[in-house]
Amino acid sequence: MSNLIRFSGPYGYFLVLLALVVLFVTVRATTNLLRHSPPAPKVVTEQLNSLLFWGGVAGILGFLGQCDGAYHALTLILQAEEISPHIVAEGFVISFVPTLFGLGILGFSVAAWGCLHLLVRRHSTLLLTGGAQLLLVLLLFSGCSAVPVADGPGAISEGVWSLEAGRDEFLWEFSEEGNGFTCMVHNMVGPLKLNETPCLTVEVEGGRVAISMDTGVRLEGEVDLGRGRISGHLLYPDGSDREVQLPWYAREDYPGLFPLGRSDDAYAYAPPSELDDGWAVASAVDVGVSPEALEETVNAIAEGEAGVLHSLLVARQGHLVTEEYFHGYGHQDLHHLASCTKSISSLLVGTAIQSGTIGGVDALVADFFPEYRADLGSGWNTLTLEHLLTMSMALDWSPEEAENLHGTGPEFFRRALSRSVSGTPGEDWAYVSANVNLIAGILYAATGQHAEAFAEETLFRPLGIEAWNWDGLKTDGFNLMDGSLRLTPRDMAKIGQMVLDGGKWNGRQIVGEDWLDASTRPHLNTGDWAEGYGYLWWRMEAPVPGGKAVPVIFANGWGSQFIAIFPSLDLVVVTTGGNEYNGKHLAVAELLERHLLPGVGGARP
Amino acid sequence: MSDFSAQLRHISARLPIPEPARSRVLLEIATDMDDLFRHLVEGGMAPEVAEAEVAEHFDLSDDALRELSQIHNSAISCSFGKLSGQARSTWERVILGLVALFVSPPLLGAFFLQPTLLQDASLLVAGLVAILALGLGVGLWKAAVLFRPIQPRGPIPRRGLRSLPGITLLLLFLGFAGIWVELYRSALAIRITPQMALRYLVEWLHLASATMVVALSGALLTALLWFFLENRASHLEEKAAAAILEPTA
Repeated sequence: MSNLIRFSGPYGYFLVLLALVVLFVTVRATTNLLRHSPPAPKVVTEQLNSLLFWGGVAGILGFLGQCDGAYHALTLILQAEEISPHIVAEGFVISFVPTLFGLGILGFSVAAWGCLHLLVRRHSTLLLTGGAQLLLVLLLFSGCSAVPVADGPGAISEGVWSLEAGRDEFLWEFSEEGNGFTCMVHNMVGPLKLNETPCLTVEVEGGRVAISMDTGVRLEGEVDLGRGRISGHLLYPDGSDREVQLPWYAREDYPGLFPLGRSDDAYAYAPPSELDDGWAVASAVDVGVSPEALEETVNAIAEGEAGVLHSLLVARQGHLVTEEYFHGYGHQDLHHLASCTKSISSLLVGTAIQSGTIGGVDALVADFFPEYRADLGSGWNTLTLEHLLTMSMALDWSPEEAENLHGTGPEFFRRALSRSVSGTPGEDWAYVSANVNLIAGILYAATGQHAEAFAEETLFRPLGIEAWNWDGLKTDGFNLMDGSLRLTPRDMAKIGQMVLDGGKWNGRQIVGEDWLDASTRPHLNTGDWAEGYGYLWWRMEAPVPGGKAVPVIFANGWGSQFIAIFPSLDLVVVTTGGNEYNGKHLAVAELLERHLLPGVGGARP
Repeated sequence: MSDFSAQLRHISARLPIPEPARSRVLLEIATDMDDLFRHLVEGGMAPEVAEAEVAEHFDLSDDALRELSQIHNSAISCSFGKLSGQARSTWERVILGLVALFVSPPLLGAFFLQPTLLQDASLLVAGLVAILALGLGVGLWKAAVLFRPIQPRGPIPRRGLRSLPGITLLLLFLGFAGIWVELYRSALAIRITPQMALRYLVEWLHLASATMVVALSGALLTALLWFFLENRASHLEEKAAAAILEPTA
């Protein structure tokens, strides 16, 4: 009943008043009827008719309430740039409440009128039927009061609070910790959970909440647990703000929030599906991988040990033995590779060298850009392709540019080529993504094809890769070589398997073995957790049981996108994930070391 | 003026119709009797003879009374009578008055506080406003007539009162027609640009709800206005009928 009044707005109070009138008239007419022996006086039967009158007034008033409420809600909705179907649907459910309320009163009036008329005529059998009818209306009425809108949560830490922004939906989830709260923002797109971002500070006091993010954005608002809504403002660092409403939903409304869907069951190992895409599949035990280790790994992912992973694929001895997806993802979903794209770029340079269109890694980078000769900074006469591939060009980018600059196309090439050498090329290793994008111009100059067309011809088609997307930040046909490629995890695993097999896929040589040897060998020390850097491939040692370590070659994309190749274990592991903002990018390494690698037996001879 | 109260009481007892139609018919018969009496006296007839003549003329048979009742109590009149006969007690009228007061602000607000309501509504809202203005005009005119002193034995001026329920129905009809016309226009727009379907549908819903706010609140207001005026007229008729049934001193 409280929902009926609450969601009917001011109309609710009048509808309650009319409901009381109908109830009073019913009781009055019933008492008068029972007091008189038949036939009932005319004045009593006339009283019955007023039931219909008041019921009708309630029905019309309820409908007016719906129209009035819907008009105001839709006025606000249309002011937004993007219309959210979710909010429209929710608004409409609420707007129906006064109509249901009014119709409930009308239904009760009609049923009571019918019953009392039968009482006037002393038709006891029919009266029984009428009574049942009245009971039914009452039940429907009470059902209506419960069904339209669920109650809000009991506490702010129950469920999630939704903020829609275009195609994205941000779910704010609060957790109690000690005497305070923490908050995680889950970024959803449809049924998929993309990533998660922890809030920097969370203050919940009384009915108010104030949250800050490390981007400088703040959310301040009032929490209405009864209505299940946070109303407030998003405050941006530039001083602007936006009024927002965050309705509450149960976590169960979003299966993508759960790694394994809504199932609470522990994962039980099952071999991957045969998809006729070139992959041979096998049961883990047939290739010397412990199913228990795989189960342990997947269950650890389900418990969040590696943050947000979207997929885990394991291939051994050329057979795919595990293919699991999480947070709503599936085998058909193209996933962004982030900086794993750089390693693919390295493969493309290798095939161009192999075919003779590029002389070799000693070729001068500047020679591929003759039209920009006038713009060249100092030192380009010494910078080779090898310097570019090993991240050792030593250009004088500002620290901010070195970390964040992404771009491609003629204007970007001009900008990059205008930088000057400020250190020792070939010795000073620095992870600068921007430089890698020069490969787009180099490949075009050497092959006459843009990277995507060249990759399709020399890499994707031979590997049986049929779906990809490389449109992100593409400029004048030039692809972004340091990121933005999207592939399915199965196709990422094909690339790993091909590198493991010396450039062969299903017996066909696709990339030269010599090139792979050279490009996956450590050329420079990176100075941090990885042992070395090849030609846009990373290299490190992974600990295995017995106090030993095995070498790992890997493509490394921000957010836990990995193609990891363990040559001595004849093993390829692929992960995709959404660990961009939660500090768990490298949690996968620990996950594999702790749960998977101990279950991989029999090293490659 | 003569006293026909005894004959009118006799007719009243035989009239097979309920209130408020009974009082209305009695008042009409009384007026006709007075007119005939006056006509006969003005024609030179002695008042006693004229009185007997009138009494004889209005000595109506049961069939004549039934016919008269049917004329004054058609199915529609009967329904209107039953409807307006509800909520006679003071507390019920107070509640209805409150509802009328509550309904008025959104409507009045459309003109004085929130002009966007009319801009956001269907093109047919101009017709709605015109008809509503007509309804309110009729209502005010009838209120002015019914709340001023009326001849105790004269007929109650009801002309125009029945147009109010008609205006109510017309408002509802135009409101729903506006919704369907705009839905058709939205469907045409969606056919051209299907990718905008959601926005067009939301815009249609917005427009439909604005139109229905005007139509429904207007309809409710004119209906309540009719209800009060009809009740006032019936009350006056019953009072007048009671007066003519009383023998003159």
